[in-house]
Amino acid sequence: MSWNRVAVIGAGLIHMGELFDQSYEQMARGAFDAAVDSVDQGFDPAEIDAVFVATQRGTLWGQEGIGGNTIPSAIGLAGVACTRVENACPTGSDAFRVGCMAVASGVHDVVLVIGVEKMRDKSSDEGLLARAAAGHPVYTRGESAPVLFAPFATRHMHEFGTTREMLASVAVKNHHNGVLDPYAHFRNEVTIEQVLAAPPVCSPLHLLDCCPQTDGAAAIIITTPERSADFTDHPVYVAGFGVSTDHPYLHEKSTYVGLPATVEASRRAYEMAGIGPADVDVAEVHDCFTITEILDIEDLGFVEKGRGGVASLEGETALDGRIPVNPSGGLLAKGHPIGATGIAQLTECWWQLRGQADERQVAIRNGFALQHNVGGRGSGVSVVNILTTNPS
Amino acid sequence: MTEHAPAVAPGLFREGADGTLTLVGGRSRSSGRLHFPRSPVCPWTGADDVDDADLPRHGRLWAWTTVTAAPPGYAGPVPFGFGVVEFDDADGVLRVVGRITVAETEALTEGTPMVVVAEVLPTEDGPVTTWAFAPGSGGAP
Repeated sequence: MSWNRVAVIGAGLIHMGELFDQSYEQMARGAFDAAVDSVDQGFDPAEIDAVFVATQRGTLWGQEGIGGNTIPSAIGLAGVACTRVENACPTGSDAFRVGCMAVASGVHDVVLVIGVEKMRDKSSDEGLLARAAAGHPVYTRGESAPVLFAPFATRHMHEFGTTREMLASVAVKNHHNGVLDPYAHFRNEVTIEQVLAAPPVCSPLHLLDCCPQTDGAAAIIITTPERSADFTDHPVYVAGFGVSTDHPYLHEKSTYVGLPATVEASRRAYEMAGIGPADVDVAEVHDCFTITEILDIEDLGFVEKGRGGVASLEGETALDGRIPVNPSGGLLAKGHPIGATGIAQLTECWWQLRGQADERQVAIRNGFALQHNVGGRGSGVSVVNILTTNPS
Repeated sequence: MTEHAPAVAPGLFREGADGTLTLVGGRSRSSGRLHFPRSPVCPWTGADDVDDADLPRHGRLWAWTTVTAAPPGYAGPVPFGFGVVEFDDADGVLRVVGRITVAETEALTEGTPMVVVAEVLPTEDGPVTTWAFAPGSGGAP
């Protein structure tokens, strides 16, 4: 595959949380300003010639019909090209991929990818996660996001002996990392005992096995490697990306102990980057539930299928582990403002690769960071992006 | 005897005079594969040669959960059981998701024989009839 390389020159996000005091556009402005301020040698926003907006559910802030195109004027760029991207939970990561293709194609020179999601302005009952299945005749009565993932946990426990303690260890680790992340929604430690004793949601998933509903925004600025020299001496490059789909419904799945869309998306991204899972130094993956991170680290090839629970319990994915996973606190602690999630994960990867992650900094050996989301009603779509410090 | 509550959605199942419920899926003439709910195209091959096809009434429990947090629109009691049941078909197995009539599913085991039954579900819009899976082999096949 021949493609022009893409460089990341800036990235930033706002403090995730319940942001009732900020509008959709105000959140976007905060993330945009953070990304602009992060550019090493200064950045004039007028350089931007295209914006890709990642928002999954505009209905949650009451403006589905115009979702996305209110952003340019909110960030002082009215007139710029602007396109909204929506692709379920990987909305942010796919908007990044689309932005990269716009640069790699030579059509656009400097591109802003910005993810914004209002999750809390509506009640939980009306919220995006509770209504993940709304509109489908079969799924609207009796299903919610945790119900869709609980059977995967049941099967993983049945087939591999995974325990609730192993699931809980993912929440413990990610909350610990969240304490170290100033942008995280939750910044408190939890213990295995607390996770086990939390109120049940749907067995075997209890409250602390589930990510919160979080408002947030994140932004990233990309350009060509040639132009990047105008803005930074320490660019991070896009090594590869991949997208894959699967049957959307649980009953059409070939397996409940893995997500085939993740396997295929990562295979494509690894191939494009010319690396394998062992070359990845750090990963930000989709931990909407504790079981999801266990499936992810297996499907991405970091651990053997079936060992995800044991590897988590034994610390292989901790900040000082063999393959640190979700140093930002992940969706479980940092939060999951859907359109912003992937771009916030990429921002963490950018910080990690540049050695700017402060107390969360992990050892960077090979110069590769992987970012992953999976989503849709039955996890029918996955996106993987790989960043690198290596210029070629 | 089933109460007279409207079906949760049209075209998903057929109710018999004896209170039994038969799930109605589709089968592609070219792929031979059974699917549910009935789609205009075979989900595995994309072929548009699908005919109505009844699902077996008897299957095996494959995955399950006890739902403690009520989903939106649901007005019945919690906890309730929810799970995946496997049905044998000529070309393999078909999995169907739905409610389980046992509220506390922890005592269930993989492979438990399950039978499709009708269940009246309280919702915010009034009661609706849906399908559910009950442990056991009750009734005629």
